[in-house]
Amino acid sequence: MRNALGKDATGGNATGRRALLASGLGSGAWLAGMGPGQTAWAALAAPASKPILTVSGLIRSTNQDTQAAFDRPMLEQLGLTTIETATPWYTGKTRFEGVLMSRLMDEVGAYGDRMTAFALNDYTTEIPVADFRRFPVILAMKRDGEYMPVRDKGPLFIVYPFDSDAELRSQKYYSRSAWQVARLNIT
Amino acid sequence: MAGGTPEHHLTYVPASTAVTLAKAGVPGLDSGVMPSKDGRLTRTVLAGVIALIAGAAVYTSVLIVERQSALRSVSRYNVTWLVSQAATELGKLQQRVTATALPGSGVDEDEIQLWLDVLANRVGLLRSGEVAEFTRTDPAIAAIVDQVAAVVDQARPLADSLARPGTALQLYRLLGQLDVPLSRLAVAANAHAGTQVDADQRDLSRLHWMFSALLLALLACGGLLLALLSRSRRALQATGADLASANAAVRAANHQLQQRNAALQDRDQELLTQNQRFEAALDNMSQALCMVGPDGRLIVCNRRFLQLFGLGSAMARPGTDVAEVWRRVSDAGQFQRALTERMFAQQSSLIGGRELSGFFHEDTDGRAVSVSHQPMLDGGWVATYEDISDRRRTEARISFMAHHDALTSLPNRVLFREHLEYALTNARRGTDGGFAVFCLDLDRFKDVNDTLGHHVGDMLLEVVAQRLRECVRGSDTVARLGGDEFAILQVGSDQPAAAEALAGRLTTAIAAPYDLAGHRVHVSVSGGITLCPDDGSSSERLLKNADMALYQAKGDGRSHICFYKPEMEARLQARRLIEVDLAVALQNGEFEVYYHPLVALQGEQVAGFEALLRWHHPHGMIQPSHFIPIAEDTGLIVAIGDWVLRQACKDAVQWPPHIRVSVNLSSVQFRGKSLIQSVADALAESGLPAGRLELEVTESVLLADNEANVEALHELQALGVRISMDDFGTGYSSLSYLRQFPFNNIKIDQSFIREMVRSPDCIAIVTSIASLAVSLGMTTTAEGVETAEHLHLARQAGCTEVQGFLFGRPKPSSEVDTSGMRTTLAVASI
Repeated sequence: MRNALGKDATGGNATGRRALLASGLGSGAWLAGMGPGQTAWAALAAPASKPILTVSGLIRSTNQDTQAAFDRPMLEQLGLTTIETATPWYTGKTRFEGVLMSRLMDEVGAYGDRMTAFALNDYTTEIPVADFRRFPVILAMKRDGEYMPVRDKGPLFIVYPFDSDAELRSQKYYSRSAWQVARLNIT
Repeated sequence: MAGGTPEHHLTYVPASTAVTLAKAGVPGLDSGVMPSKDGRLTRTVLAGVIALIAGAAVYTSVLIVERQSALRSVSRYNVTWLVSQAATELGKLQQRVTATALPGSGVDEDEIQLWLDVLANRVGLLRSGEVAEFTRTDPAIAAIVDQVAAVVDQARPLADSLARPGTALQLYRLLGQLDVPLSRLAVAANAHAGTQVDADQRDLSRLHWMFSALLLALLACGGLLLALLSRSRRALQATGADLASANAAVRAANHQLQQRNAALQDRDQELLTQNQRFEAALDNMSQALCMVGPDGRLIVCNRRFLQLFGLGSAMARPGTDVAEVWRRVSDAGQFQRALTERMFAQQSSLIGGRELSGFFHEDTDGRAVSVSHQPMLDGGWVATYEDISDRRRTEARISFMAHHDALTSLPNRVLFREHLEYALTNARRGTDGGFAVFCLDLDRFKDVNDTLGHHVGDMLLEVVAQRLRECVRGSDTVARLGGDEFAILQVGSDQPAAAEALAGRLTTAIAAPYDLAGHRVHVSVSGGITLCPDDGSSSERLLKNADMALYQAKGDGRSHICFYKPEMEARLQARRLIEVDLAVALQNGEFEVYYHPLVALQGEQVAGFEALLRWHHPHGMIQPSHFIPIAEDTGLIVAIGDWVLRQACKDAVQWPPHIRVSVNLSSVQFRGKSLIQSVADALAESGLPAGRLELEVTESVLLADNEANVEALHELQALGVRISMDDFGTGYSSLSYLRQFPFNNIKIDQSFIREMVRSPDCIAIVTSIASLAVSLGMTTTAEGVETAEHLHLARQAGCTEVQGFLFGRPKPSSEVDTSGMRTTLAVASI
């Protein structure tokens, strides 16, 4: 876990710290399984630039009809977490930076227990929302400090902290690690 | 073994521990009963089986790890899938490119670019990570990947200008080149995966067989264990009986042990009690005690020890080096350091010896400690200490008392003798010159004692002692030898001048009046002096000679101190002879009473006779003046006086009724209470009327306000006896005696009568005495009338009676003439 959580989460800029605080609070509420209407959720601002992610399904916060659209700055504003880990797709260790999935779930007020990730290459995979509670799974935007282009698994890549737990180093979790993610649906 | 254990456990162990030991012995006994060879084999086999099982377990664990690893590799990332997706994505790109040719398909250049990116991403995937391991295995496959990369690169410019006619077709054809290579890639990937699965399956199969073999081995071990167990059980059953009897033995031994333990506990309790008693005894000892081991360390000391030497209990703990204890004792300062150091030095010299030693040390303050040091067989020692300061003081006091007189605190006879011996030794050595020895005796001290009581007598002695001390120098010794006897040892070579001077001082000092309990008392001292070496060279001789000189002084009329002279001894010898003979004279009938007439001037006839004692000593007549004082000194005068009284009365009763008998009484006779009775008895025995008896007393009877004597005289007078004062005028205050007692008669001393011839003054004195007597109702007798002139003067002076040789010498009773006086008187008057 220590390996998985990068410096940005704790010692980064003010934004990051604030985001983490909010994440902690939101996570608590989410974990307690609060029903709809119990909490006044802040309205989600509309994206200023081209969205790179849309979240739909069982969510409370929206900014585009029934879905929530995020451009890159909006995601970054949620705070970036770093995971440094070996993966089957790269040789050696790789450093990934991105938004905690649990934080994102809080942001959109997700209340379903399954999430389907849709990739640009039409790959889909289904992930139990519980994974985000058990592991600090991130929606990576950067690899080794660089934004990931579509050519290299961008723009978003679901990364588990594989090195932190042997259980994660299996086909089950490898298949949940979708790249070129553009849309999430909570059911 | 079980039976032997209690036998050898002779040392005391608490009961509970002993029981535990006995119980612990039982399992040991079990193994001992098994046949040892079988037992060893069984143990070996068992150990082998256990080792086998342990080995199998370890190996199983290893296998399981291996199997997990194999399974993981089976479930590792699916390369086939990843590779085959390249073909799928190419198809989708081709589909998008085709769609651009169709109006309203909605597919734009961006989408084509996106898909090109997707494909480019796939190329990246094929070139990195686990897939790269596969793609690098075969140059052909690597070439295919390179081809895909190249096509994607070539396709990008085309995709930008897709709107141009023919570009789409060109792109499609370009992409079409990849159809076959990608299919081939998928097939190769599939084949690669198949090979890997085969290897995995082989691994799994090998593991399966290993598990099976292991299981079989475990089963075999189980069987072996079963066999061993059944064998052991048989052995156990076979030794069951042995075990039972052994158990019984153990129980018996246990019981015995418990009994022993109980006994030991009793003994322990007894020892504890004894210890407590010992401690109590130790702490209640009046003596201080310490016991030291052969190593010189303290074993025990009692409370008294700490008290005696002023130590705290922490300062003499068992185990302390005794030298350290001694040092602390000296530091504590209960006794002078010199004392404790001397004492411990002596003890140190006794350590290692064998004899009991007792000694004591005394310091300059009079503190003393006695030590009893007793070595012990082991080389240690025990010593008791006692503070004997009080005892020493008492001893010193007793010693003082033994050498001093309790009343005056003067040295007594014993100490005086010691000093005398010491002085003699020095005199013999010549270190000191001569010295003088005084023997002193108070004159008439007995009278003081008798008349004023012993209390006043003691006070007098104390003052006398004080005065004696003041007369001598510090180097001289004044001692009280007993009663009113004192002695002085005067050292110094200036003899006899120094002794003479001292004698003068003593006489003056003692003669000064004493005021004692309201009484004014006068005493004088008599003494004898001997000089060393002139008068003797032994203490006995010196004392004896001094005593002799004293005797002489007394005999010479008292109140003076004289030097010893050799002739005194002869005189004393004679006196001793008289004393001895006097003691038997009465019973030998050597005494006789002579009578001397008393003539009345009125009527000129014999009025009576004075009874005078005569001693017919075997060697001749002895004068009263020689033996009466000796009889007085020895007390014989009482018995002699009594005899004279009775004899006089017996003789007088024969005489005509108008003639009386006059008997002299010594003052000594007044001391006892027997005088009155004696007089009464003499009268009663003889039948003489009391009026015919006259008793003559001297002034000494009335000396020193003697109330008892005056009382006695009254009693005698009350009997009807006449009382006459003898030798009137010789004393110091004769007239005052007349006031004290109503005498019937006064006998004027013969010295006055003789003197009247030459001295008119004397005539006047006698005349006035006679007239005074008349006025007092007394008669007067003139003594010593030897001539007619004496008779004439006595008559002239007015005396009532006369006595003297003029009327004949004293005669024995048989020759007394009671009728023929008239003629004599007539002759005398002529």
